[in-house]
Amino acid sequence: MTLDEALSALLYRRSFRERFARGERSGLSDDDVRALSTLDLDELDRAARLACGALLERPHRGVGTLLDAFPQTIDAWTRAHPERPSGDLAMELADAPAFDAYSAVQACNGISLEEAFFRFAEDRAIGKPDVRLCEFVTAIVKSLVVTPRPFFALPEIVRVAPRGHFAVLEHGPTLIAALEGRLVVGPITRFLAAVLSLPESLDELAMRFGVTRADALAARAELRTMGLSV
Amino acid sequence: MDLPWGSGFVYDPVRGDVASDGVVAFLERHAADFGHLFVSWQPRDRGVLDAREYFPAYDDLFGRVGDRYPRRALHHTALNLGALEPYDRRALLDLTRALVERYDFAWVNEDVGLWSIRGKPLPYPLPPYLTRAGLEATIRNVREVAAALPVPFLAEFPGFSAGTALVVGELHAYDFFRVLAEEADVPVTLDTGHLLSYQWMRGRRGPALLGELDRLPLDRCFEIHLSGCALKDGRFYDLHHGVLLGEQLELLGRLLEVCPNARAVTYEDPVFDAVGSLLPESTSSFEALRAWVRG
Repeated sequence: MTLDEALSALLYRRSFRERFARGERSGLSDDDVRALSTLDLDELDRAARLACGALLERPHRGVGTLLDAFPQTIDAWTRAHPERPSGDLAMELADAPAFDAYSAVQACNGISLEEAFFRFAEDRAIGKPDVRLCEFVTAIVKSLVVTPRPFFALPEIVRVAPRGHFAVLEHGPTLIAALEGRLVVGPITRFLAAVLSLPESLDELAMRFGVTRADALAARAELRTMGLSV
Repeated sequence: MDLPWGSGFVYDPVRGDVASDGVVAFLERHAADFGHLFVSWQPRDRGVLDAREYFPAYDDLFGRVGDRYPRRALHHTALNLGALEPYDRRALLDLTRALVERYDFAWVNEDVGLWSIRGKPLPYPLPPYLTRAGLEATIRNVREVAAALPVPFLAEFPGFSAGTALVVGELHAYDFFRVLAEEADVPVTLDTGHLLSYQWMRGRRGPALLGELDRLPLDRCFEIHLSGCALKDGRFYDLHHGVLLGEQLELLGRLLEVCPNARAVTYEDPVFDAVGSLLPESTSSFEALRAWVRG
């Protein structure tokens, strides 16, 4: 473990910080142990609370904060833990494996904070699966409406389209798209969802869904007009 | 001047990204009071860094203030000069060069410290690692940045504000900073609140709070910063709320005496309302600073 990794873990990983406070120094070089010996552990706790607390309240353009993006999922956590402050949720997020992959700067490759939170919520089964997926995808696509070239890695469910990005949620099915600065959200047919999502040919899909060839061609033409497919 | 997106720069549905009316009104109202305009760069969004995304807002700002502020400088916030880890600054430096050339910034600076760590954001920049390895890394980083810019890069002494004053390593921060400036061969910015916060954290009080200045690279000091600070419950906070402590003005006076090459005094965080009027709590600080500088 490098000194950067150690300081990052001390700030963001409560479990690591607690072990460090108990005197555990495994994985650190002698030089780094000596350097870290000057840390004021009370100040470290204060800095960690600030750093973690800011995760829920850090606004992102087009999306807002995690509190804005995941209202129902976070509400589910709050209802399940009425005695615990929201800061505890932030601490748990920061201590989760999913958080390691998050990067807030272009200089370091990583996923978005929303994806880190989604993965964390998946692992902990916080809230309803359909709801948290919808909240997650909506947040990412909203971000793409105002920031079509993000530096963070996009999740697999969000796909590149000729005029933007889109995702299809099975629930509904529902289309969520960012197309040339516009957010497009709404239910679509299972046939359209398949056209957008599956690699099969249009004829194969039309046959599978009992759609006439003429209707299938018209549908694909409309998707092209919208900038959703080639 | 802090220019956060959403308040300093705002989005107008018709005009796009623009400077807020309050910012422009303040700058117009006080053009005679300032010799230079120092703006703080902050990321607009999570997009791939591209200077063209920033041009509309900065064009609007400098277009509306016109020729009132011919001398301009840029405060960076993402160069992460204290990082030990690999940190790819190429896109940031490309963007910075483009801004410098388009807006004729005379210098660029940044507090020497950690602005993010392993990609994770920090609520306030942390001091650099006060170790031999930390010093060597910071020298390398500052050299890289200084070499990449067409104007001087000024290294700024970091803050040790309560709540985020994480000291890793045993080097004296003044010595660290002096060696950094000499080895990287750069001019520096001395921030009065940052200097006081360091000495306060070390338990210095009274005259000792302003002591040890000779350990700093005084002859390399080009710029002195003042931003709002406060003492609360025995702790020192760098709040950037525009309200200066008497000790900051006293330190400014001392620094102006011992820094032969100091040319700029920057009031970083004037706090004003939507029509550009200074708020009452920062008016006295502004007036006191103006009197010091003119005096």
